[in-house]
Amino acid sequence: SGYAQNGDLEDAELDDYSFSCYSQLEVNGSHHSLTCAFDDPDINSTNLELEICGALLEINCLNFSKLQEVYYIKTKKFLLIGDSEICVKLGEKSITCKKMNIVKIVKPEAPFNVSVIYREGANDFVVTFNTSHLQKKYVKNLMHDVAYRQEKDENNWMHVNLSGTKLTLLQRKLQDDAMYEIKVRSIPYSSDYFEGFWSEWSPSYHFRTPETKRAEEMD
Amino acid sequence: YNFTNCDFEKIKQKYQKTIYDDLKEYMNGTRSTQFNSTVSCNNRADCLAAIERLTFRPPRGCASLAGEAFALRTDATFTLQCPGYSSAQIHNTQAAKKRKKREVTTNKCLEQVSQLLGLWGRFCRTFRKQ
Repeated sequence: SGYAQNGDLEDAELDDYSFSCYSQLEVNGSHHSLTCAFDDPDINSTNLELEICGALLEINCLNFSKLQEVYYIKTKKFLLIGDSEICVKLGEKSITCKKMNIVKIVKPEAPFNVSVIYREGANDFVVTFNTSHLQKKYVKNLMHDVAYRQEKDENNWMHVNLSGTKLTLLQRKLQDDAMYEIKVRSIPYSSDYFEGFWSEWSPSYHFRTPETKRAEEMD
Repeated sequence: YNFTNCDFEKIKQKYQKTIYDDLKEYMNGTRSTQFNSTVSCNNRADCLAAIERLTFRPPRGCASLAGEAFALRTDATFTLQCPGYSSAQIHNTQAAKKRKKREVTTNKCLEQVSQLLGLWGRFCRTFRKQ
């Protein structure tokens, strides 16, 4: 689900208040977001609050807002250097806390505008897509995962990893006269300062491969 | 404070990924050639010492830069990557951060930040010679 799983419980008798978070930088102009949720969906979180302290600009701590079972913060105040501490609080009492580094739990925004153009002369398909991260200041270096499959082949996804936003698929590598589905997701580049999780998948794009001449001559 | 034992690679990464954009944003609207470079440094530790001096002890005519994002990030970077560096003792940054939230951007401050960009650039170039 794209969350950090590296927490440990303070004390065996406590309910399992472990939680996971991901950050999205410059998700809304220069505002960042941090989203957390309890790993146990059945937990009664009615009076539980989340607070982040440390590695913040000009302030010591920030309280999360809550929407149903998800806690989130929208702010410009992430220092982006060093660890923060996120605590689950019941009133003033901290029940459990976890050290997290905002730049190491980044979940990019999903790519979009996936499209495929057939080039008859070159016998290939040019796949292009877009990502909002090209315009960002911080998380610019992403690895993209292009997944495509023949629609009737339920789980037979082929994958291509690339750092650019353009890819060519050779016609001879695809079935003739067949319907294909293609989609893309992104993750921060592994050796970059920013690390984290896979984004959501882009909306899928569907295209049909042409009948080739050999097939036409046999008709 | 002697910056010789700092983790220079990590400092460079933090500069390139966060501090640089802050400095450019601070200089937004000024031409990069508007100020002559008047401060230089010889090696990495020397550069960091000069950067620390210019960041946290600005000259007359520029009240304080300590509340700026680039200064807060520089402080956090040095605290993380330089053993024994603690800004609170060295130049009372904690007090400076509280007292001077964000200062008016004077021309003197712009000149100072222009020098900082030069020093950080010089610091990064020391890695190219390796």
